[in-house]
Amino acid sequence: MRDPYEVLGVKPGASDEEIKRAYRELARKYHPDNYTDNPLADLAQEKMQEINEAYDILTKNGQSANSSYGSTGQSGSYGRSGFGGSQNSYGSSPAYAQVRQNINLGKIQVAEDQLNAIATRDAEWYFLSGSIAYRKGWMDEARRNYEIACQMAPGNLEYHQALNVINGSGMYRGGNGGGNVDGCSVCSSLLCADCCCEMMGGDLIPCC
Amino acid sequence: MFGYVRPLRGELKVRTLEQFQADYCGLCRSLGKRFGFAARFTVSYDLLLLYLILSGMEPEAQRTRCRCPARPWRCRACAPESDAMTFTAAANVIFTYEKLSDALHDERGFRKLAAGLGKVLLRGAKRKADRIAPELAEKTAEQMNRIWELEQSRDPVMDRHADAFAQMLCACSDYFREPSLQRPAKELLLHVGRYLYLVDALEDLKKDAAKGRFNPLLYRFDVRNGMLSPEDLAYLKQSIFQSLNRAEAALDLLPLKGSDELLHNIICLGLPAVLQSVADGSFRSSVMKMRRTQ
Repeated sequence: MRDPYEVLGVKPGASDEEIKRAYRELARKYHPDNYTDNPLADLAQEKMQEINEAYDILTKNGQSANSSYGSTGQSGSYGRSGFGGSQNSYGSSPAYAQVRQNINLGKIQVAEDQLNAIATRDAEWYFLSGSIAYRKGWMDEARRNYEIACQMAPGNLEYHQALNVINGSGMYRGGNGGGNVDGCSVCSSLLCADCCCEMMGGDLIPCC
Repeated sequence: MFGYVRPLRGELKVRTLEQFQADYCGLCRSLGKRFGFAARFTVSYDLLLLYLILSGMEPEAQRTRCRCPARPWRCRACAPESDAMTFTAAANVIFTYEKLSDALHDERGFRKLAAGLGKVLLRGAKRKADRIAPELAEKTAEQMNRIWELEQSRDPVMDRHADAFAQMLCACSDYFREPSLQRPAKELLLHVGRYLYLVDALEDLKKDAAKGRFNPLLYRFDVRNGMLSPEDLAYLKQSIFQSLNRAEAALDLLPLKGSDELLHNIICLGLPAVLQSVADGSFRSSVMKMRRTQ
């Protein structure tokens, strides 16, 4: 196991505050959400696990073990949710199940050949074709296929989620900027939260 | 090759900019030393990115000093010779040679003549480069054939053309043996390759449409007078940004040491800025302006 200070990129003897800040920064970078359907998701997950372990060691185990986000078990299911997970609920045919399995295993070429062998092109076919394209980095093809899938099956959440992910990823993160939180959105979120609290009988901001 | 890969200088520390220049001079010197004087003319910023990735896991090397043949009165800091440097120089020669073959095939008149002359001058260098990176040379030639075939068939899938090009860069990731380095490097080069191909296609669109030459965008979008509609342009930009996001995600997985800052600057700031200026048509004039001020 590597030195936990080195993993978090802080000097030995760093204060709790510094450790926490470094941990948050790294956890945001390697969060499974950034690697949804990414062929490198497993490497990111390993990295996340390493960071979580280092953080837990440095903050004296116990108390903070729960506070580290996306801890091992969770992040495992994260990266792949919406994929293998939903295959039962949509009652896909055995051929599609096989394609999904191969995509999850990273055997993209095999999955592509299997998919091309299927003659009927329904919504799921286009969705899976889009997923394969996305993994290969063919972003234009991925989006076109997801769009067709969404048009053919407007009520399907899985397809819409995939389309949202790809549309969202075009908003450029632009370096270290990260979550674009401006003053307005913070205020409006707080006001919303206050309204919700008041609806439930409580109060978040006493003055309004 | 294209000149699109460059850092956003305003955001660099002076130290990092010096490192970038030393790496550039190092690459040029390595080309001269290993592949002969003619090979020095093939040096480009694009392949410098490859060097930064390949050498990125090592701590920053001690620089030496060397004299620049273009400005012999100046002594410049220079990155030393290393395995990564030699491999990059070989890749540079191989890619340039293939590009010249492509030009010899496509161009007419003076440019055709120049490409033919360049090929003759680089023949010796190419032979040496083939010996240093035999797998890369083989894969590059293979991908070039694929690109030609796709162009001949006028394939409407834009990503297929881009992928054929990107796979050439990808082949360089075989420099790494461990999968934990090779896989992120491959993904990174794949998306940078897609970026380069599509940005190049966007920049040449007007010229290609006028001269009736092949351009993948002509078959993917409805092009009028060599221009994309504003919606299509926004869509294409978004699609290229998606590649850059994937490239950044891959970059984050490499345990970078020496060239961490520089690579992040290029991928996260430099390439988006170039895409922006190519999209609004100000790229070439801004390059000229930058050359004058240097």
